[in-house]
Amino acid sequence: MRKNFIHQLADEGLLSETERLRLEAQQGSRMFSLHWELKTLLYLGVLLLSGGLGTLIYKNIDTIGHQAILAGIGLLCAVCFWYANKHKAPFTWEKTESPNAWWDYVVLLGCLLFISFITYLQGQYEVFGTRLGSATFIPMVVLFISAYYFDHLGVLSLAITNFAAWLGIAITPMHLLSSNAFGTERRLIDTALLIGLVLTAAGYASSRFNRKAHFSFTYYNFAVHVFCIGALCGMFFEDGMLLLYVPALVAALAFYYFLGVRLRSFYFLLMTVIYAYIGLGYLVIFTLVQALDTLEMGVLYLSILYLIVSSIAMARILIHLNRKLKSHADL
Amino acid sequence: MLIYNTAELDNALIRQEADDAKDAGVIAPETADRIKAAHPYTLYSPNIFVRIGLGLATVLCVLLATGLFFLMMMDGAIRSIEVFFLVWGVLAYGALELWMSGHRHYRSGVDDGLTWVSVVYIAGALVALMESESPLLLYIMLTALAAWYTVRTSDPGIALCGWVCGIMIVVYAAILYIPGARYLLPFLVMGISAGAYMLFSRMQRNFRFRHYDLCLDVLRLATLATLYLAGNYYVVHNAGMELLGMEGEPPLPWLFWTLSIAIPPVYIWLGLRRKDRIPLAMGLILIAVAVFTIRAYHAVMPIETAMVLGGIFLVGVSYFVHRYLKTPKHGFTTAAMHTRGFGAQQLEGLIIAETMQHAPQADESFQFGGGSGGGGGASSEF
Repeated sequence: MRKNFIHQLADEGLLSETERLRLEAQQGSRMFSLHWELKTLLYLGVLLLSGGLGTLIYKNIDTIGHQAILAGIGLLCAVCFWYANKHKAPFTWEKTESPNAWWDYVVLLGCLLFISFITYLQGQYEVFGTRLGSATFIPMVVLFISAYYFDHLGVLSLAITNFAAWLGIAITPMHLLSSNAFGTERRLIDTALLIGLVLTAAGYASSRFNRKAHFSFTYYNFAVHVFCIGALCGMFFEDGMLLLYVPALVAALAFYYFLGVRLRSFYFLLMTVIYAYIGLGYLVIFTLVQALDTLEMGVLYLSILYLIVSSIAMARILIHLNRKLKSHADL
Repeated sequence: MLIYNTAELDNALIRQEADDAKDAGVIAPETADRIKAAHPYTLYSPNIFVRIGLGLATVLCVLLATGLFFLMMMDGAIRSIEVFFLVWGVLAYGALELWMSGHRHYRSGVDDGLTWVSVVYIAGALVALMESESPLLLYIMLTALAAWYTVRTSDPGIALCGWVCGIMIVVYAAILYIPGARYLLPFLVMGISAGAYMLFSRMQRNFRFRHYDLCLDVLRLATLATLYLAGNYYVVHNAGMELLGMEGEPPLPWLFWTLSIAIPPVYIWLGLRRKDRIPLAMGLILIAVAVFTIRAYHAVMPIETAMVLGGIFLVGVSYFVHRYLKTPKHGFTTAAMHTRGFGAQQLEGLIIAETMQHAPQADESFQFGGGSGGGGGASSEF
């Protein structure tokens, strides 16, 4: 505590003499946590290592060292899993605490190396056959099993994005909009809706049947974005399909609104408000544009007026919702 | 100085520190409760999501209001568009001051939104108005603007912009007024950065500047960064060619190489010694910059080998630190402090999924041999 505050509180009679002395003594002996620094180092190390080893295999594909590299990767991967297994808490369907940050990243490295290894085997020798899009199917299975076995949120997120990749869509935050050509193919939009449904069901099942209930947030988080963005793209790009995609969006928003209220999660409420704002804004302006012949320049003015009024309304709704959930600061 | 109610901000700090002291077991829970009862915090500071939402809504509102007026006064506004935006920037700033005197908000999104809209409008108008004038004058005005906003709102982002503009003043003033500036410039910037770093560090320890803590953190990071970049070989080499028209290798290459490589470890050492997160974090970031600097001139080894070795090194270092600090030593620990676990874990998961995803898409054909494989092609550029 800052010295001035200690004096102030002592003067106000809020601190006892012993507490004042202990506070002053504490100042010199603060613990300094290196937690996030070490986590960042580990993260970068694993990122470099898995990327570098993955590239090494392909670069040396025609050389003699190739088999050695492959064997090395397999060995390292085995060591990672052996170590992770040895130090993990016994498996339960509840949440287990990871021993430390170092262990988290050993698990992650093991999974990544395993994927490199079997993707290579599959590509070179087609060990697992050619059906089912096995280039992504098998890594997905491995990742899901590891995520549940080691209780690892990072691996679970990787598994979920792999599941979407298996069905043909990129759902990582940076690629959701940039890598998917939603405007060109209706198939992709419907795939997004399907993935959203499946992930929502998975999230619901996790908490309903108490099987790693803390995973449900991760499922829901991917699901709400994939589904809503899919439905919005359907509204924007597919002419004459509004009657299909608008109810889909409304249903999803209603589900996630009540979910947010039930979980007391402001995050989901905010997401429903934002997606509802975009959807409603599109519908209103779409209707106004239809009336372009009669209104002419009025369309532009009315649109801007609508946006101003609706953004004020959105601000008010957010404040209201925040009050409703009261002091809930986290997700 | 601040537009906010500072007595309330003090209460917020006291409540936070009382909670920390309670968690550390230094004061009794009842004492913490009594302290919090005596120091209520009543400003509206909602959680980060509401803040983002309200900020977006505010920005959108001002933008659209500007757009509407622009449409209505189309003829006049187009002829003097700079003045139009200047007026609207000042109006938004007035709204900010009025709002904060009447409403009890702090970092609610409304104040952030108004701050940024007004500062961007005014700065944009200044840049457009001063197009034909000397850049020196422009940067002086921008720095003054940023300084004013920083003092009034203690917004760390604006403080950072102000520092960058301030450095630009030094660069342009040196080129215009100091003969032989091209040789002195790196040392000038380094000296000013070092001075500013010491000044900001002193300010941060001073109780008077307690509400500017985050600003000073950001400014200290920025001063450390400019101090390093001014001495970095790659920056000196390229800035010399682009800005000052120098050719070939800069003078005293050994000095700049030494600075490029030696400064990051010095920062890390400083951070560990003083138990100060700012130089420590900057040192770690700059290690990466130093590596890129070396690779820009000397391709010592193929990039994938460098990645593997770097990865082994980083994982190894963190392993030994973990082993060493299994029980806290010398006041250092690896346990998490002051972090709300769940949100951070979710974010970590997202980052991992975003950056470590190297499975191909299902519809891409899978080819081996001769491919450049995930960023590995970069080595051929050097």
